[in-house]
Amino acid sequence: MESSCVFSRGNIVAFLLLLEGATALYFPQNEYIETLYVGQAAGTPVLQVHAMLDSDGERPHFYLCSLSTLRPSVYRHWFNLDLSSGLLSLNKTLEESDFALLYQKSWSVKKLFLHVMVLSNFARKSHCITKNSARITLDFVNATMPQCAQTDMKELCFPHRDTSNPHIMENRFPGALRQLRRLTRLHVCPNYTITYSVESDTPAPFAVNENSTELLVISPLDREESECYRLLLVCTVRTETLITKVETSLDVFVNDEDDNAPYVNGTDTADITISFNRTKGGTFGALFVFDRDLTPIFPVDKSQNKYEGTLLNSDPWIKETFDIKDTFSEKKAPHGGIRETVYDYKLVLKRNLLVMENRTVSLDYLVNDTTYPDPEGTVLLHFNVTILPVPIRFPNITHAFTVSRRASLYAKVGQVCVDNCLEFDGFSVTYSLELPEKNISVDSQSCYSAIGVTQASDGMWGLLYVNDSEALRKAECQELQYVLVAEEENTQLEATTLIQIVLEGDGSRVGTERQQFLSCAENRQRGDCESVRGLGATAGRCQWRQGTEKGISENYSTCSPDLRTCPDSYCDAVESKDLSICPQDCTKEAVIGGHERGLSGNGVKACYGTCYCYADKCFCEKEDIEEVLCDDMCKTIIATALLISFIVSILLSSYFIHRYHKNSPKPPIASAEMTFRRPAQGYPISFPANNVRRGSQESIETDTFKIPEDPKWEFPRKNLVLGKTLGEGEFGKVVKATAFRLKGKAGYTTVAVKMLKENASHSELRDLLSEFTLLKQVNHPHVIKMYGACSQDGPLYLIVEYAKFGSLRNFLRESRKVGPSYMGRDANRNSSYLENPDDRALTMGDLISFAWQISRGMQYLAEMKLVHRDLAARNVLVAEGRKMKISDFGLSRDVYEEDSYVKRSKGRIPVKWMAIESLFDHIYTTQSDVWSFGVLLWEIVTLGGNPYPGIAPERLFNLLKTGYRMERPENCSEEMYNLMLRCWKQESDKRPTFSDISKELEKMMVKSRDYLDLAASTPADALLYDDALSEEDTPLVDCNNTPLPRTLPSTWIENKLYGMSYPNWPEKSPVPLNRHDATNPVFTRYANDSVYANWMALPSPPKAVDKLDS
Amino acid sequence: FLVHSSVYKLLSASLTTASFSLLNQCLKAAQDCGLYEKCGSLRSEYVLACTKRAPGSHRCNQHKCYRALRRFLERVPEEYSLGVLFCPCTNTLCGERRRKTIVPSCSYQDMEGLQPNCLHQQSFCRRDDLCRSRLADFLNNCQPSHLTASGCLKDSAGLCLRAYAGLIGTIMTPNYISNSSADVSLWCTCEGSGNQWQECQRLQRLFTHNACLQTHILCFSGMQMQISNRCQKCCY
Repeated sequence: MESSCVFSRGNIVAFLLLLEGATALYFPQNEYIETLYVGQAAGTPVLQVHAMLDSDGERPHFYLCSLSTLRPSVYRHWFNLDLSSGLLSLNKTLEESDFALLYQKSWSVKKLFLHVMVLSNFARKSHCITKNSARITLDFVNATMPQCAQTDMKELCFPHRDTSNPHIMENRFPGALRQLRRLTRLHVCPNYTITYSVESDTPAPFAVNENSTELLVISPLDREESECYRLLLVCTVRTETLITKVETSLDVFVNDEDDNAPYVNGTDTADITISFNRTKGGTFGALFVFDRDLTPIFPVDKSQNKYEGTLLNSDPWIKETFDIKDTFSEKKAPHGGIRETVYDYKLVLKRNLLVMENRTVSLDYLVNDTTYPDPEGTVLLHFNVTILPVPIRFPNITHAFTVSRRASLYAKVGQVCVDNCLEFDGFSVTYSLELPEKNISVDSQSCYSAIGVTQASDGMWGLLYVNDSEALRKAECQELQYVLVAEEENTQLEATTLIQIVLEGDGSRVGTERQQFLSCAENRQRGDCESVRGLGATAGRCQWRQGTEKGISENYSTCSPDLRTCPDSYCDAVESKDLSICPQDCTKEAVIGGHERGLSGNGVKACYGTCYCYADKCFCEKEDIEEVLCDDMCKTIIATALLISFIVSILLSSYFIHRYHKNSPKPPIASAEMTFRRPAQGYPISFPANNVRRGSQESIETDTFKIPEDPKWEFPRKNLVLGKTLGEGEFGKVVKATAFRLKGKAGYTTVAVKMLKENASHSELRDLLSEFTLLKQVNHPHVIKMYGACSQDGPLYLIVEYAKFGSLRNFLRESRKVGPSYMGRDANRNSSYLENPDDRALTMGDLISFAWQISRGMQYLAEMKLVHRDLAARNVLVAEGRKMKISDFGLSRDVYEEDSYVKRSKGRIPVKWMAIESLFDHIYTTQSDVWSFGVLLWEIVTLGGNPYPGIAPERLFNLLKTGYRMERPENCSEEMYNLMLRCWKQESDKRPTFSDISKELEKMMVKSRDYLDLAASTPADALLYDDALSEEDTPLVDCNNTPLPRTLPSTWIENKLYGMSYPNWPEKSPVPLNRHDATNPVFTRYANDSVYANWMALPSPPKAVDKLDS
Repeated sequence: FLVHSSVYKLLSASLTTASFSLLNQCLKAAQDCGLYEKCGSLRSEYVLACTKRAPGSHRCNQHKCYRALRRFLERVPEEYSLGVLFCPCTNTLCGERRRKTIVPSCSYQDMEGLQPNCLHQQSFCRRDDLCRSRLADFLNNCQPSHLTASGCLKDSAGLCLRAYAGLIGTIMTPNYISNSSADVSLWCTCEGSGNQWQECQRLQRLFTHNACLQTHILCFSGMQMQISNRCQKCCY
């Protein structure tokens, strides 16, 4: 018993306890663990439990109890717990049969659970009160206790698994904490003397009772001084010959109770001024109240250190307006790392204050630590609040703005604001314009309609804009003076100022245009842009911003009414008046093309290429901007360079040409079949079943041989150096060539040139010309691009993109061979993998990506209302970086010759790619292209296989009509095959559109690819990872030297790489057919695979159609 | 156990110490998962579930995310799912990928950034049947002990990792805390635990300072060079 202070506190606590039934006697540890062995005799002690006193005068009474939910266990009566000392001992000798009695799974160790509770008086209860009960876990081992010789010192001294640390409540009484001696081993080594002692680095009030070997705490503890004591228990074992010391550490924790009052360190008064910021919810000031006790938030019902605060003022106005908010956090005291609590009190406004409000109030807030026993656990805080009125007035400057007379409707003039408006919060101001008080003539009055004012979206600024552009141009309107009225919403306080608008410039040249103002954003090019009088143009004409960045950037090219405010990623109040003013900032619709949206989904923050918008719909596309300027500059630069180093450049260019010709180790890519076709019509056509043919749709007369020159596309013949032939067709061929200074690009570019052969006739030339006109219109990354043509002084050459890898069909077939043995440059395979991604083996994801690219190209063509009519793998070219390029679009009216269906000598129809309605009714639409795309998919998935293997083209009609479709190829996923089947639906409107196909392929790519290397994005990874850094491209095949047999389930691609080299489809038809034509199966492999039917031997198709139509 | 032996053989066959520094193992594991239809599709599912915004809020639908994560871990064969979770990393790029595997912005941490109290979390977990059983499984199988060679009380190698993976997708989801180490932790603090601070700390340390768990994570990924003898005892 220490000072009276402690005693009285104890009394009070006891009083509270009687009321609440709280702590009372408690166990310092809730868990005791010991081991029992077979053969342990009755009467031997097992362990000893202890309880700590909560109030003086208590005496503990220990009882074995059972948890209310369980039945008493069978083994309970084996044990006996001494009432006053807490010693647990055995009632009976443990036998093997006892072990067998227990229903537990293990054969060697079974667990016994006992519960102990401690009460301060006698009781007859046998149910545990969970608050002061401890659990004893006994490991019953099916063996006898090891003898002294087998027991090591550690086992003698300390329990095997000691997982529970004692917790002692602070400010309590000294007492015994735990029994250090292992009572079960008391008599194992009788010759040994075992003593214990306790040590610690820092002074700790613990000691060991020599006689009873109990650990004692000798004085009340204070958690605010130390939260944890790390003790070192030393067990000294004395044998006849040896003294051994065994040590173990024990952490004793101190529990907290509310024995500290809150206090203020520093100031308890806060002076707050509220002026401009008077919005509801605003917080002001911060006063800190410290408490050295802990404030637990878990468990929720624990009532410790609960603070309550009351506002002492009784003024209702204060109660309505202010509130005090508190937040607490736990922090560690700088000295000793003891945890304590800090409460932070802030003043909060409950409502918006009026601007006129001008008063001074003083708030008194009483903070009460409710769990603190003394009534002194309170702190009084003061908030001295001064509320200043906000004057609504205009700054003492003259507002003068100039407007060009040419400005269009909704052009911005300027912005005005009341004094300090930026800091306003919690109220807003509206602006309006009024005429000055003087008498004005009616004419002048019409001038005043020119300018209007609108609220900015943040409610503070007033934006002036042109409301009526006609009025601007009147000669009599020169200087306008307005009165700007600012009104505060709640109090109707007003302030006025004068605004001068000066009209300048010359509006007369604009003329009497009554036209509608157009949107600036519609224009795609500088020339168009700067000639348009767009909405919102401050200078009368739209302004063009030229972007220079590559890819998606914020500095994109666009046409805007005023570059200072549009685009600025912010749709201000004037721009919001009409969406056509600045859709780049304001559009809410979807944007087509690579882009990034602005804040809250409005507008286009970044764009790929040029951004242009029609009404609300915006597009981001790269324009082929002719750098006319550069040309001139480049010319002068190159001219001067030539002058300076004339001979050197000639030598260099001839050297380069030599190198280009020599450097082609690759075999010629055969079968880049480029039979010439006439371009498609600009709209889906339906040819009648009879032989009435339409005349030529081309604008070129059949008689003229002179090809009109198109300067935009004309390329000087002398700058083109032809090379080797890439592929040949009937009457035309494609050669590889190098072009010098193509499209302004310095140096040599590798291109492909399409031309006619010597035996070509006039109709072929017409076809080539039509292709030329068509190619001029298309521009898409996945459609073959034309660079120019040589139309004058010689045969017609069309210069198109060069596709490095040739046709997709060949590419896929070549890739079948790729494997460990095939590596062109096989010096260092590892590095070649990493350096040249094009040499990688093909993965399923690659194939899906090819299909996706083609579908995007076709989608573009479909939007351009072009029908390809011969979409197949042989007509898709593969360019550098494995980009797909659709070529040779616009098929063939070769199907119909001049006046008959019967084809002349050669002339092939890609029957196996044609849609069913094209075969029978000769209808070619985008949806029949979808059918061809389905067949193309099949070709891709089979790595360039022949469709309908073994089926002669003439049989195809019947089969397709009866609903036969190709089977799912080996290892093709269900979804892919499903997509193919949908493309081959009989009804063309049931087939998916190309945009549907693209979306589906995108979804498939998510599943098979894990990161992107093309512009195609895979949603999963784009969402997960934003690695800006490129990752290594790890091939599926292990990069190490020996290809390991993969134990992962291999997909068919691995089969292709390591197993079979060609798919095993029958090339020969199982049914012997009598073929009159030259399509002999033997030649199938090498020629362009009997995909075409030669119509010579067949009965004329109309008859076939009639037969089948029935 | 058969499964696990094959897993380890697989990994030891396909990984050599030389190739470590060159490859991004987590990327490879993800690619392998993508190859296998089931793994790829379930993975896409949970990625979509965890990244899609719930209508009317900026946040994801955590409930759906949890469910999809659990489905992924339950249905996909372990060599793929655990391979993606416990891939070894030698650089921060790989580590970042590994950390983001379970989409932590949805399944691990709140957007607000406030960490709940660990004991609170545990009590919530205990009230839910599934979480309670998973937690018990974890506590049982990943109990550390400094007496055994492997660092675990139970010498059941795969069970600890499976138990850890079982916690993913529950209220007490653990995750890697940085991209430069394989340390894992729960998303909670011990602030405000009052007198039960030690219990709270103990719970936290079951994840942050658990030698058994750490050994198993590193053993699985094949970092034999670091913990060779311990791995041999536990991992075969």
